[in-house]
Amino acid sequence: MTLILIIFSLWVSGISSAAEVGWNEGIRVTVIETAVPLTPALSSVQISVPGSRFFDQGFPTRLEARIWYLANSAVLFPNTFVESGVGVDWIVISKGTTQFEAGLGTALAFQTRQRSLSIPLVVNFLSRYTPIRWFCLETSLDLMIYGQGAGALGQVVGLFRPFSNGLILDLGVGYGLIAEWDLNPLGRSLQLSVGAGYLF
Amino acid sequence: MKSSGRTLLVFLIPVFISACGPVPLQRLGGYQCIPCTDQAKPADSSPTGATLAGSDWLYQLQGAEPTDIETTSFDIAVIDYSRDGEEAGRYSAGEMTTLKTGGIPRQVLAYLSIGEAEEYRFYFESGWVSFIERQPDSSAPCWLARTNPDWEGNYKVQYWSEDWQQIVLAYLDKIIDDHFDGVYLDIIDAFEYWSDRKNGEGYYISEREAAVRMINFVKRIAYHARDIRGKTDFLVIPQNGERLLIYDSGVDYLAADDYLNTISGIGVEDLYYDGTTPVSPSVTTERQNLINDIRDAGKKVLVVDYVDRGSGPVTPTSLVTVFRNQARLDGYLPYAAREDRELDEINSFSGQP
Repeated sequence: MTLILIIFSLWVSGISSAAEVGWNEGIRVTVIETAVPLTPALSSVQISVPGSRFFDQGFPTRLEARIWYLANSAVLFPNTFVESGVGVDWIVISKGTTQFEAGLGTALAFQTRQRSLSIPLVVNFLSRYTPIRWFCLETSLDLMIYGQGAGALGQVVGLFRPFSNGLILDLGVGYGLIAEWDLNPLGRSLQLSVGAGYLF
Repeated sequence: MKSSGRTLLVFLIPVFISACGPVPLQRLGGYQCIPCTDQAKPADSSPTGATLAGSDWLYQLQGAEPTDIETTSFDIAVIDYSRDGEEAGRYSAGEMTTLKTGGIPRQVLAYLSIGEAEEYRFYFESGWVSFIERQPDSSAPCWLARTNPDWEGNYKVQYWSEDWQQIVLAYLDKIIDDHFDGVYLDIIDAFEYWSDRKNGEGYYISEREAAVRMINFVKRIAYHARDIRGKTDFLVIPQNGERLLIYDSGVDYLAADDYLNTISGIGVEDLYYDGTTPVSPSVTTERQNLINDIRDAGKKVLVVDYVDRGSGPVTPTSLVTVFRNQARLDGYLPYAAREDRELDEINSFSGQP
């Protein structure tokens, strides 16, 4: 499945080209607090580094590197879980106000009380729609594949740039599901998130 | 082509190194079962308490009134230690006397859930549960697990936790202080929940381990009442969970027949009917094969089936009558309860008691 997606991405990327959308032209650092659904439960720092920042043309400009740190607490210090990961996104389609990305990533996910380490494969898809200069709507689907199961997290996030500088505010809603390989659902959650960041 | 090959390789590297390890529920936030590490030590054995002497039992867990029960001929009563489940509703010494001696001599047992926590009890802190999700949050003790979807406000517990067992023993002290004759232990079958890999907790143990831990807990309750508190005749009646007897042959640190010797009888729900629907005869027989070991050891078997729709006169062919006759025939003490399972009234009709 993953291989098919990669091949599809490579194929699509070969036939599409368009101007970049401004929201991912700079290095973006965002701190996000997620409540499940209203109780603060997850905090994360996400750093997004576009290839176009360092390369003028060609293949690398269509890549976007992501680094994240996530902890299950209202602050960034983990309560029982901490995850740090890295991923690469491929800008498959970029036309006018819309973009579509597909990516792969991996992470070190540590459950502190059980002292168990997981290394998920993260497959993600993201669409970005920028109808006006100060607003961007991102819709994403993250698939997390573990040795003993899988998870999926769908999110719709509104990003706002209220000022002329790089300040970004975001507000999102998501729904997640985690299951073992026999599809026995272990957990579901409705997530609300607020975040603030800066586009350098 | 060469460049694409390298690109493909870059993408495939994570595929090869990824996807190992357990599924962390915390990734989505919210409730996550944390296995308790404060497992209780093996309990001492206690002498078997008294036996149930009565022949008709009443099962009322809500709003039991001593003056009402006094007027009935039920000689065993299983009630809550409190009218409304809370501390303020506990029965006075005078009311306990009425319950135990009013009308006829009566053995009175207090209901005690040892496999689930109930949010209206004295020990429960509302802050343990998230406001909307209604699942334990990060401030909850490790023993507090998922809410019971069939019984809102009740939460599964890791019953082997020393912290939880101390709470139950404190609860037991209140019951003993109030002069109940014994306890009627519910959610004994939690050992099946914790050995079910599909329990939704993301954590489970073997059935043997779960059963041993439950037997040990029941032994500890009996020891606390009969030895530490000196109530040598204290009755300990588990409800359901008869499959514990499969593991009562001296496995791990338990002695053979530890469980059978500890309990004073057993309560059984839904033996013949699930609501008003007949249970498969093979299921009933399978349960009876174990339950009858308790009966044959000279201990009473209390059976409650929720078969009473509460409509129409009771006749020899009424479901409640059929149920009672069958239970009597098998050597058990029947109680036909209302179909709604609320257990909030004295269900008395012609033939009961």
